[in-house]
Amino acid sequence: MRKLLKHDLKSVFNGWWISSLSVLAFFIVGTVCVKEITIIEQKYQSLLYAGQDIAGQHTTSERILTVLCSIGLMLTFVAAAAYIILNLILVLRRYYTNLFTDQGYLTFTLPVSRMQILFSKLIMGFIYMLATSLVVGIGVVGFSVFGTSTEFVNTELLKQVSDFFKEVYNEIGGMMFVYIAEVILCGISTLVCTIMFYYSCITVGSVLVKKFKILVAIGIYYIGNMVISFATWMFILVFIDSSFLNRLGDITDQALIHLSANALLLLVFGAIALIAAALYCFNLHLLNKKLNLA
Amino acid sequence: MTVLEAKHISKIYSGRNYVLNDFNFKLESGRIVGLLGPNGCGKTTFLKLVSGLLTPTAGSIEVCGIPVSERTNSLVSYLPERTYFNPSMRVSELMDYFCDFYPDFDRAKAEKMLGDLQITTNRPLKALSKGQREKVQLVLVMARRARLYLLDEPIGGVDPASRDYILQTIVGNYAEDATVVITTHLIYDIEPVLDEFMFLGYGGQIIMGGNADDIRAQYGRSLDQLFREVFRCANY
Repeated sequence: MRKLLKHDLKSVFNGWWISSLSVLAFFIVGTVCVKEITIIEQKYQSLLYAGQDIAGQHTTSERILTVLCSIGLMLTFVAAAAYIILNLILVLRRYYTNLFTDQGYLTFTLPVSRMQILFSKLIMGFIYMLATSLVVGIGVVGFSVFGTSTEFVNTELLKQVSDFFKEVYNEIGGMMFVYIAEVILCGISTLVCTIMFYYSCITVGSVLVKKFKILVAIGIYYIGNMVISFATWMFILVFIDSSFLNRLGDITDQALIHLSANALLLLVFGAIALIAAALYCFNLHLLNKKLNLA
Repeated sequence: MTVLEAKHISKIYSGRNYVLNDFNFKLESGRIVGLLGPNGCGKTTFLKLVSGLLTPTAGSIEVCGIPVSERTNSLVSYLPERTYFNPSMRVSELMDYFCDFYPDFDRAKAEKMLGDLQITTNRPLKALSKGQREKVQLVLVMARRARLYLLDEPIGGVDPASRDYILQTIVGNYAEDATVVITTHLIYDIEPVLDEFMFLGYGGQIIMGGNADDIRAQYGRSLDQLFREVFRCANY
């Protein structure tokens, strides 16, 4: 398993770290751009508050700089979106080429079980998508902290965030950390479930047809998405109706509120984890029984 | 010792044709066996069944007494008829890959064979020609000390001079207790190295088989000539 994972991680790493450095560079550029725009606008805000007319006050160079910085900012957001999509494609491409193209002849003749092969691919996908999210998160945090103020660091923003968490902690105490942990668990299970869903679409497409496997996989993805959306709406309509919400509103006991919220979060985590496990078993069944490399 | 035993093997594709129908096959160790037949008779399908890439519709296959599974993958060294390595990997990285997964992989032997074939190991596969890629694949497969080698068209895409080297490699690099199964259409080239052979008809029907030397003596013809007679287009 470790060897499988080592080679899976290595195969995607080159593309990942180059794209990560590139998107971080874009975030740095975006941060500088938004800072410039902030400085320029802050300057004219001060004049406006002082009662001066600022119409036509921008110099030509300031106008050009604002336009260029706006373009830079836009490119940053486009780069961030492209980065996420690109890395998702790298992960899915690895899954597809390693299992369902000629490379599958090597993969499936290794002295490892199909369960290990699939599990390795799942962990690889999870690690890279989590790392991708963290890189984007770092970029966004850096952008917010360093770019949205005329000072070097936006201390006001940091203070507001700190005050928010202090307020929440004062309100609910140590339960805050429990909620944070549960939200993180839900996030992890959602990421795993999403990856398994993508893998399942590719697997089904590859075992169903000999040609146009990717197109069929994309079609299955869209059908699957529609089914999930429909099922979610049905769940909301059937289970979360107004009488249910009213009953929730009647609860005044703090402990019971926390229990209900915890139970709900754990229920969501459990449901998503169950779906992820079902998709894993489904995938494994197809690899064991329906694999037919051309 | 029986290295490979297939009992009542059937394989249907897409609910229609029987590619193999009640096929029985038994191989003893220490032999080089040619599995010969026209296109579509089930040779490649049988090799894929033995290597675990396909599941039989019916029947069972055992390698050294073990049913086909990931356990038998460590006993079987399979060479498919296509390029099955990641083309962006260097040859040295492929050797690292084989070292990681196959304890029986002899890296020194592989490097020597690649050196004899003048293939540098720091180049990615996609930078090599088709023939060179096939040689790399064959070298890596034969550098394992496996119990059963399954070679599907090992000399199909290489030049005649390299074919001789590859055939010498096949003969010279497998252990005495190992078995080599070769499928090919180039019977004339492969014939000198075969101990045994089997002519396979459609549905996995065994038309003729046995010791290659004995059959040549009995019929007074080469296997290549026999093949052409048995599988004349009018018959198939």
